[in-house]
Amino acid sequence: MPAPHPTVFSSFVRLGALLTVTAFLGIFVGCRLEKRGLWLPEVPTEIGAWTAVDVPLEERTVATLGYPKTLGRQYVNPFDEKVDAHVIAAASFDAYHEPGMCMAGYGFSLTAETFPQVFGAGNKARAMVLKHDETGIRVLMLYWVQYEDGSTTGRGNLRAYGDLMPRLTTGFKAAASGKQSVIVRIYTFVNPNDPNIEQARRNIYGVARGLHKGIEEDGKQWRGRAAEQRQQEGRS
Amino acid sequence: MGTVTTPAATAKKAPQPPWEAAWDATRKTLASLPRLARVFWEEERHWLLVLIPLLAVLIYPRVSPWPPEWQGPLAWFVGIWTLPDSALSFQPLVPIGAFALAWADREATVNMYRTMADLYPPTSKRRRGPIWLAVIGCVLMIAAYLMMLSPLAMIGFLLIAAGSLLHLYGWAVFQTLLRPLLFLFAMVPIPFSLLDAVTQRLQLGCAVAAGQVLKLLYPSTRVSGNMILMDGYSAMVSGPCSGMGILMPVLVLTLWLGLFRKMKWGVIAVLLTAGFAISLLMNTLRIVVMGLVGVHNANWAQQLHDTNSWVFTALAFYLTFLIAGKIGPRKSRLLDEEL
Repeated sequence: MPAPHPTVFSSFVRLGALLTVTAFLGIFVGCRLEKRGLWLPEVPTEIGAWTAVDVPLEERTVATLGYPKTLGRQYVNPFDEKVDAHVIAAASFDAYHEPGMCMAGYGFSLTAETFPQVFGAGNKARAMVLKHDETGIRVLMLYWVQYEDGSTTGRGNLRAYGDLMPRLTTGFKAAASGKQSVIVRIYTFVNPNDPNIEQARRNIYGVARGLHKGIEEDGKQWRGRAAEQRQQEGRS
Repeated sequence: MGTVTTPAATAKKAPQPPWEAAWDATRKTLASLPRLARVFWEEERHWLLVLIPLLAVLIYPRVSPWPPEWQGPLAWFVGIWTLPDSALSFQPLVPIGAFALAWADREATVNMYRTMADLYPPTSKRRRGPIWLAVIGCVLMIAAYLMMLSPLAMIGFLLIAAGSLLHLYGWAVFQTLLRPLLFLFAMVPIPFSLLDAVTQRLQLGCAVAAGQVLKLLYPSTRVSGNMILMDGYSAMVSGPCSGMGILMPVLVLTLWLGLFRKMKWGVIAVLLTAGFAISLLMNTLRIVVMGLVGVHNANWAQQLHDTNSWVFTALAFYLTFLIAGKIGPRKSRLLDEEL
């Protein structure tokens, strides 16, 4: 059997080693990423004076988000003020769909954006004011990604080709830490008698903090609950 | 009664029809596969060191739950190619085109390899190339895994394949394979956002153009967005007849023709522009026919709307092919040189 020259063979070995390492990294990242989106936390139905009713997300919206697990709630206070909340399992990059872009489809434009530390030092959310082009109606929206340990980020959108670095960072964190995360977006319509958006901000911050606390508590228990569930499935 | 065949009759026998020759060649190739496999195992099995991990870079099984499913970049590509009305459904055929380009240049490649083997010993650095191209491909591939981006994965994979050839055979042989390797980049999936934007513009443009033509025959025809409104029939120019299904394969086939005939890049650019214009004209013609048929039978028009665009693609490419015969070399330059 004519064996290749040792120099030639070493080129094959070098290349084979490089490709093997890449393939193993691919398998590792694939396994870690496929476990995303398993966690959809239970959120409180009562937050102070606010009481929630289930309002599931529209089928079209769920499709845009890549069919993750979702939870839709509407919180109402005794003055009949309303705050809508969507909790979305971060199953894929589609789930991070830009809420401002979603609203653009309904005729809203983004007029202001900031990243306040709603949940304490370092834990940011993304706050947006959207204005309807024809009627002038305004919407105040908070958007954040929350991890199992309660930490949050007010990350912007993750369009496939416009935001490569945030996308890479998100993928790297998901693969390296394996931490589950959920995407929360809550919004309320701003009353025309509230020009500085003070009342709307009070309302939305109150509900947001209640949701954040509920999700954080659920996150602490989730690992144990998921392990038990797996054991039960294994037995059955 | 049996047929009597004499040596003289055999000598004067008519030449084999092309399909019979092709069948014979296929049969012989299939018959020689076991021998080729044995030769590969005995003499070239060190290639498995590269080929197996190269396959594993593209596809791997999902670990849980049972039964496992195949996932990885190849699964992403297949998902794109098999989408209903996908304008990129032709992409799995691109490697065949690249193989044809490589086959056309096989003698140049083999001669260069032999020349290098005659001039330099196996230990010479001139017989090997750098590994950095394959390393860049691997880095892009890992980024694609993390971002789950199919275009990046395809670019990474093609760079890995090209980098492997460069590393194993060196620059001189690599340069003879540049054209097929460049053509393989026609497999890179176009980002959905870009594809959607172009599709929408084509839908609107083709609807307006077809509406103007139909207006000559039916003056009451109106166009609203991508809707063509006629008396008793209205057609929506959407998905399947946006024109992308014709445009993309025609452009790639034109590029292949230009590379096969070794045209200058300027001539290829002119041909691609011509292919672009002809594809849009063909799509407009398709919509006009749809409108003309739809006035009499809406069901037939709907079938024409949903029908696969291969017929119109073939027609558009044939017209581009005729133009190529006028403005570019008619045969591969290599073939001419050989003759």
